[in-house]
Amino acid sequence: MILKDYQKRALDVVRNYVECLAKWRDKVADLDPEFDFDWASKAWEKCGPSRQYVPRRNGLGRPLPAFCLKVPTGGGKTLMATKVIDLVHTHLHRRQTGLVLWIVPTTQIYNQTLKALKDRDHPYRQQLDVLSAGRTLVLEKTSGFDRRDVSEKLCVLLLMLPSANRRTKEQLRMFRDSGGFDHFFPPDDDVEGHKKLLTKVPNLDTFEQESGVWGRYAKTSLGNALRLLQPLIVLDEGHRAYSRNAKKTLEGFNPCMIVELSATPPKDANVLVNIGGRELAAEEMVKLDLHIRNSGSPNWEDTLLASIEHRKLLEEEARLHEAETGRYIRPICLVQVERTGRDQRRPGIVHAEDVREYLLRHPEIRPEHVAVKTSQKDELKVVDEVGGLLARDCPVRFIVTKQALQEGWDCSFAYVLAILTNPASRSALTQLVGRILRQPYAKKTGVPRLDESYVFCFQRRGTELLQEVRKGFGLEGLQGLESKIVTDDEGHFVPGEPVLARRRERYRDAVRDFVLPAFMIKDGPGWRPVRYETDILSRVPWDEVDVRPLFDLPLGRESSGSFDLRAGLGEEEALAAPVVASAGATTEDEDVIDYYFAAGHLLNVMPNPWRGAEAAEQVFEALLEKHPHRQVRASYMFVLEELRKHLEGERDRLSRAVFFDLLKHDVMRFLVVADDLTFNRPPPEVEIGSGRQANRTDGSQFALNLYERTSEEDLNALEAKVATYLDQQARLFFWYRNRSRKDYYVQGWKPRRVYADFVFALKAETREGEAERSDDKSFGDVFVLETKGLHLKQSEDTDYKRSVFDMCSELAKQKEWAEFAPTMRDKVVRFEVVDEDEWQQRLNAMLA
Amino acid sequence: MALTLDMAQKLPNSGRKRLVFAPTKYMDAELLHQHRILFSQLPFEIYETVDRLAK
Repeated sequence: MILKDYQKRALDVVRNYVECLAKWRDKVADLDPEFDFDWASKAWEKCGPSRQYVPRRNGLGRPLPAFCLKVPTGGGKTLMATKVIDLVHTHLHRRQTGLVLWIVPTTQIYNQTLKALKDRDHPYRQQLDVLSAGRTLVLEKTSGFDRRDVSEKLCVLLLMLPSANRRTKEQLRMFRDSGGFDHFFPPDDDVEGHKKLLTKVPNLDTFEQESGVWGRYAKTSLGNALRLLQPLIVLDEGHRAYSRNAKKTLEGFNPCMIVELSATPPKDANVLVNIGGRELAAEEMVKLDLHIRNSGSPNWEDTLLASIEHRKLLEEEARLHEAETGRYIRPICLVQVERTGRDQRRPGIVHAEDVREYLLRHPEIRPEHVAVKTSQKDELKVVDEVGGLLARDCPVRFIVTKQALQEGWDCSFAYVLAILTNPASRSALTQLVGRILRQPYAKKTGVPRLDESYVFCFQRRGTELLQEVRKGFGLEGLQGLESKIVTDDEGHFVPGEPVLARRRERYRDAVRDFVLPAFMIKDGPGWRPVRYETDILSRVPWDEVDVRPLFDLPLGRESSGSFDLRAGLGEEEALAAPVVASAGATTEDEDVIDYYFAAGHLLNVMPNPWRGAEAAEQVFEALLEKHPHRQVRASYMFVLEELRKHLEGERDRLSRAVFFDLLKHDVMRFLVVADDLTFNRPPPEVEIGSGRQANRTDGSQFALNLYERTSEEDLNALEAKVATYLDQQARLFFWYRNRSRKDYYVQGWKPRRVYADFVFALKAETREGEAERSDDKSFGDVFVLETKGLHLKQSEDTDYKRSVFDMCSELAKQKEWAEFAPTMRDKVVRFEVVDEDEWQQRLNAMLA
Repeated sequence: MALTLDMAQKLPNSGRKRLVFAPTKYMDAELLHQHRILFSQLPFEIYETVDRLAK
């Protein structure tokens, strides 16, 4: 599964923070524990975002790193969680094994997650298998596991929050004494052993609260086993676990870290990554616009009929789409009713069975098309057992529910929401609107109707309706996308046409010959734009990769794989052979270091797997000469990750050399070519965001924008300021917003293309002796401008962009760069990266 | 062994989509699309098995 850009960025932030945590944990490892240094807070202060960190402690009183990933509905939270498990194990634990406690709030999410994690072909499971080299064990609270499982496998124990979080814990099965976990504890007659254990882990549940004649004995329960193992906790829908009781319970498991996933984190959550709705929309993850049709008719039947008809229309479009692309979509309509209970059917109230009867009266709807989902009756369960709602042979087209579809219910085929509840009830829309927003296959279909979502309701007040939906967006973490809510008049939905902005007429002649330069490579008799993989990466001399710096890689003390067990048991016990022999005993074969797997893991960085295997072999062989085999084996993922990072640096170093070599030997040139390369000329019209028109910061309209308008959602705060400033300059001829992944880019020696934020041109200079030129006839110097927020000022990416742009500015000074486009010959093109704290000063200098 | 632009240009052109199996490629998704190629990566483990069987 390919990660979306925002997911990659978010994971980079997590990686950075986890590395920082590991650094600070190691720094304080040798300090006297009495000193009680909160390394988790320190790491946040050094590497986390600038917001305040709320420190937490686990049941042992040790610092507990806890952070939250704020990801909106449909943003791939679970996939990110599996990646975070990988990062934490690789960088903090430095081993592939251990226990992860994955806590979910509802049965629905529990079943979905369990199904995905147990399916070896599912991307979530595959991610975990990559980390554990195929040794993943998915557990439920009823499955037993032993010490050997935890030390040799990556155990993921799935748990429902209510199973652990109740005032009277004694009643809960997981805290009851059980025969399944006695191998984690000293034998019953070992008074000393229990005493020692309770000194080390004082918060274990015991039979006697006070020390009696026979001493206190730790219960052999799952809860106690978890306290010993200090799991990594992944908390799905983390905002549900902020009650005092829930927090106490979770901290009582003595976790080594808590990773929360939530669309709406509470105020005291340590939000490390904040992904907004816009990022999702940009990556085609959500079905927007959201159309709302508020019918004036007081009859719910009219609203239901309208939604039936609209769903039918969508299904026809989906069939055509499948014929063309092979992608199967079966649009589903969610119907929200007022009552579902068996004895609650009475006149004047919309009951699930009323809706079912009405639906079945429709000639094209068969009984199997309708499923009712209530707390008592779950007709979707049958469907889930035979492949789920997304399966091609699943007949369900209507799901009738009151409120049984909660957050986390995940079906991207849900397109239409029919709200049949009393118009005075406010909560309905808010709760369900998020359920229809996921885009099938997380990719736009290109069919406008299938890329949007629809709500049908009746007799609601316009302002309240919008408020409810806005609130609903907020609940799903989709703030910022409110402009994508469209209320339609009665009648058929008109699919949201993309909003186009045309080039202003007065610039037509002037920009006819406006062409920007690009790196071009010789291809036969002509030139074509440079492509990273084809032209740069394929020429990288992999035999020059130097992995020697990794030969002295320090392998951490935790690498012995006994870190978890140390907390509760003596050192000697942790390293001793397990008490209970398990079926999955390690064989010698399993201990062999797998260079082929390593090559696969490195493929993203080193496309030649033979070279990848060779590099891995060199590093591991060198480490094996210095460290015991067991230690190297236990650090396999850590070493591999370090190798990946190192190779990335090596690849970029060698790619840079290749790039300059191609330039030097004239195989590659920085040129303007007259041909339309689709990115080197400003197009006659551009698709812009459907939000409000962007204006200058003083509220007046942009006058020098090359296009008729730009949308507010296409400019962030800094860009809006820069655009305003440019627009006020007397010497400026025109400016335009250069859209990422659509407009002009520069391909450097790293994989990602560099898309600038703005392109602007000054008015042509009047030469001496020449008559004054008319303002609107021609352009002079051209600038390609990238702006960078303060937090990115010193980043590696900014440095790279700066060096690429500096090189471009240098190359653009050479005379022959415009040989194929005579109109550009006397023009100066400059490439600039400006930081937030100095943009105005730099722009002043450019425009002087 | 890698699928390159040269190779892609030399593939027989029947006007239909071509399925190419290889251990690696030096073409991006856009270029593959332009050349109507569906690329399927062969797992490197296959070569391990072949090596082992050969020995």
